[in-house]
Formats: sequence, structure tokens, C-alpha cells
Amino acid sequence: MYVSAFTAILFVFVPTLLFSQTILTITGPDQVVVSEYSLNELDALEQTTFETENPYIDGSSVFSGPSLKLIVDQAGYGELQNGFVTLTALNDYQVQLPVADFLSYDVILATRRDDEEMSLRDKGPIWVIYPMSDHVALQDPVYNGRLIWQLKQIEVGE
Amino acid sequence: MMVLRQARWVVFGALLVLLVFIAMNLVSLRGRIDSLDVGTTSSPVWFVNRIEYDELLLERAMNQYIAGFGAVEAVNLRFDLLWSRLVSLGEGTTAATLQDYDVDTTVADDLLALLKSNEATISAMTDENLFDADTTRFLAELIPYNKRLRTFSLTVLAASTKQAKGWRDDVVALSKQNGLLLGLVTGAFLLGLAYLLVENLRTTNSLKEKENLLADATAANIAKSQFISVMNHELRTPLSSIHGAVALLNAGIGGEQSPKSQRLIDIAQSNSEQLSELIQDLLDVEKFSTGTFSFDPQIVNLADFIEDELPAYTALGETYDVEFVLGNLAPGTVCNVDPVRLRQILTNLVSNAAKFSTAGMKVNISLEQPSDTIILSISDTGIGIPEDAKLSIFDAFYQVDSSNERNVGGTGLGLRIAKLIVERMGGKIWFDSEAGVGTTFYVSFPCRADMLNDAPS
Repeated sequence: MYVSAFTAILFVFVPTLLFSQTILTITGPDQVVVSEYSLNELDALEQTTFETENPYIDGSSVFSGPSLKLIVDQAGYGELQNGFVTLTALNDYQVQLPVADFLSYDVILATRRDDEEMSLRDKGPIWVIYPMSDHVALQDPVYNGRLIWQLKQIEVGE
Repeated sequence: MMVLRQARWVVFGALLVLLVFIAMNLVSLRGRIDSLDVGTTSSPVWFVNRIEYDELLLERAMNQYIAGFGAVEAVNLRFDLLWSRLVSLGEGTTAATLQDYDVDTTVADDLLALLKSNEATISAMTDENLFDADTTRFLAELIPYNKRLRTFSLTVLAASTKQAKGWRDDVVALSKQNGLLLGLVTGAFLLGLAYLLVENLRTTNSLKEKENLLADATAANIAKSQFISVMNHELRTPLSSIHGAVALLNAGIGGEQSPKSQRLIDIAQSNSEQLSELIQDLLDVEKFSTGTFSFDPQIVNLADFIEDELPAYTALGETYDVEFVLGNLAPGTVCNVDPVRLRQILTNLVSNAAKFSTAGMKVNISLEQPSDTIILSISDTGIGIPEDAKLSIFDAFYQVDSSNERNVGGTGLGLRIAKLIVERMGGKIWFDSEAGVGTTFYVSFPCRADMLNDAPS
């Protein structure tokens, strides 16, 4: 009896817990935390959706999520015109992403692939996606390294 | 130079083909250089190295967990990261490149299978259950992959290096090829430049040559006009005196001549007349070429005109023993023509007919008017015009070679002048001729009622 009650509580609260735990941290220079997002909070933002191919998947998929520009704007760095933002993955892989990229293209922090959430085992929960199929310029190999997956942190500013 | 001119398009075409080749080579070169960049995150070398690294991190996390100072979340995270890395190896360009390298990926497949079979082991891990038998077993199974993944890494790196060496060789070959092509393009360009320079020089020279020729021609024309003028005044005036004097002698002013003297006087008169004709003909041709030949059209009754002219040919008829016969003369035909010029045409044709007729035969003159055109025809029964002369008969100074016949004389300008006059009248002159049978010359010119109104009354 106790066991089933515990299981019921687990089924109700654990997903809520998972959805509400922080999965993305935005920092300014010197690692000062500016804002934090849970999956729920990211879902509440305006979503950008497009279908694209990339070198890490077979064929093409529909990706959706808030745009990187929106996140940077919300962090109070909307005036940023050049320079880089530094993106860090869960395995501490880092990449410098030029500000010009997300000013010129719809670079998104994808949280859904083909309408499904992405697990950690499937490059989730956040995968930076460029609309490569829509822009020939983005098919240059230099952009492949910027499709960072299992994203956990964005550092904005110098 | 002609060869160069013809080769121009070939050279341009070859240049274009060379440029396309170079462009293609450059694109290919770019591709090869990109391929050499094995450090990119989509390269299998990178992926395989990361798997090796992530496996070590999972080992470490598990060791720390078992030793009691590692969090279970850390093990979960490393487990999932390794899992995702192994899945990535089988997707997209990484999978395609590995297949291209033809390397054995069993170790990655085995490791993923091991992770999948130990999913429950990982979920069962709690902070309290440090010495779980399953956990230690999983770790023991995991450790040998360390060495296997190292070997796998080296195999992939070797395959990548081998391919990169091939690409490097290609890049060197392409660079050499591009150098050669560039040399060819430069050569062709210099050739084209040389051609343009030579062509330019040639055009300048040719222009100068033409200017010189024009100056020469102008000088020659002036000289000719001067010569004609001299002939007109300095030759014709004394000739008129000779002609007059001989005519007077012939008329008996010097008294009766001995038959021998009389024959000499006849020769002198005949030749002076021929010379006068020649000078007149030359002056006429010159007037045509300078455009100063004058026309004075009048209303002329053609039948009456021809009948009136006939007696003038009596002497000619007697000389060549031919008889002039009038055929159909279309009585009452009135035209607006210059009688002097018409007489020139008629005299030329009639005298030719007489000269080339067989003695004792007839020369027929007739006139027809179908519609608004007058056709005048003069037929003889004579030697005819030889085939080889038919094309040139209206040329200046052309004379039918009559060496096997009697010498007919003449200036060789008569038919030329007749043709010039007829064409000036808006008409045509032509002939039908058969060797040994005879020749008929036709002259046609327009004669319309409305043309009469233009004429001075």
C-alpha cells in the first residue's frame, strides 16, 4: 500500500521536477549568472521551427525551440552586434559562436526533433541548430562544429 | 596574318576552356583542402577519440562511485554521454565516412550493446548501495574496452591519414596542373596581344596604301582629262584643216588629177574621216565618264526619221556592196528623243551591219512598238558574232578578230557608245547572232504618251 502510494507520488512529481529543473544557464563575463531556464521556461518562449539536414543526422528533421537571439536579448545583450558567445556542452565541450551568425540566420536552441523531446542519449535536451538546408552558405564545413549538442551554458559578452 | 585571323576564335575558345579547367581545379582543390581538415567535429577521428575519452570518464565516475566519493548523477551523466556518442557514430556523414574507410566498427557496436544491457544496472544504482555486485561486474566488463577503443582510434586515424595522403598527392598534382594551365593562358594572352598589335599596324599600313592609291588615281584621272582636252583642241583643229583641204582637192579645186593622184587623195580623205570619227568617239566616251554628255530630247516621228536617214547610208552601202531595206516601221510613232543621239545609235549599228555583211546581201531595218516601248532592229546576213566575242562586244575598244575575213576597220568604240546612249535613254541593247547566218541588233527604249508632254514644243 505504501509502495503504490509512493509510486503514485513519484509518477506525479518526478516529471514536473524534471521539466522544472534548470537545464540552461546564461552567464555574463566572469561566469556571473544572468538567467536560468528550465525546459518549461524555454517552451514558454516564442518557438522557431524549421526542417533541415545536418551532417550528424540521416536525412532531414524538423527542429523547434527558441531562437538564440531571443535568449541573448532576454539576457540583456540585445545591443550586441559583433564578437562571440561561448557555448558549453554537458561534457564541457566549448565552441565560440559568432554573434553575426544568429543576427543573420535563425539559429535556434532546439528542444524538439520531429516534435519529440530529445533525451541526453539523443543529443538533448538542447541542440543548437542552424537552418542549413535553407542557406547554401551554411553548408560550409566551418558551421558543422557550431552545431553543439547537450548544451548547458551560454556565456555572453567579452 | 590570315592564318592568325582565322585562328582567332580557336585561340579564344581554347582560352575559355582553359579558364573553365582552372576554375574547376580550384573548386576541386578547395574540396581536397577541406577534406584534409581532420580536426573538424564531424570527422570520425574526432568522434572515435571522444568515445575513447568518454569511456574513460565513465570508468572514472564508476570507480569514484564504488570508492564512495562519487555521485550517482555523475555516473548517469557519463553513461548517457557515452551512449549518445556511440549512437552518433552510426549516423550522418560520420557513418558514411567510416564505411568509406572500410574499418571494423564491431567494438563500438559491442560497447553500445553492453550499455544497453546494463541500463537496469545503472538505474538501480543508489548512493547507499555502494558495493552492488552488478556495478562491479559492469565496471569489469567495461575496462577491456579501454584498450579496444585505443586500437579502434588508431585504426581510424590510420585510415584517415591514408586517405589524407591520397588527397595531399591530388592537391600537389592539381597545383602543378594549374601552374601549367596558367602558363598556357599567359602564352595565349601574349599571342593575342601580339596579334592585336600586328593587326593594328597592318590596318594603319593598309590605310596609307589606300590613300596613296587614291592620290595616284586622282592624278591619273586629271592627266587623262588633260590628254583628252589636248586631243580635242590640238589634234582635231589641224585634222579639220587637212580634211577640208583634201575635200577641196577632191572637188577638183586643184584641177584635174591624174588617176594615181586621185587615188592618193581618196585614201587621204577616207583616212582623215576615219581619224575624225575616232576622235569624236573618244570624246563621247570621255563625256559619258565625266557625266557631261548632253541630251536634247525633241518630238520625233520615228518612221519619218529613219526614212530621212536612209540616203545618208547610200555611200556606205556602195562601199560594202549591201542594200538597206526598210521593214515594218510602225508609221505614226512619235517619241520624245534626242535625234542627234538616235542618229549616232542608228549609224553605228547600220555601219556595223554593212561591214560584217556578205557582199550582195541586204540589211533590214525595222521598228515596232509593243505597248510603251520602241524596239528598233537591224539585221544583217553576215559572218555573225563568234561565241568568244559575245560577252565582250559592248566593251570599249573591243573588236571582233576578223583576221580571216576582210579588214572592217572602226574604232572599237561604236557599240560601247551606242550602249551608253541607250542606257541613258532608259533602254536596252542586245543581239541575236549565229555564226555564218547573221546578226540582229535590237534597241529598245521607253516611249510613252505622257513623256511627250515633258518635251519642249
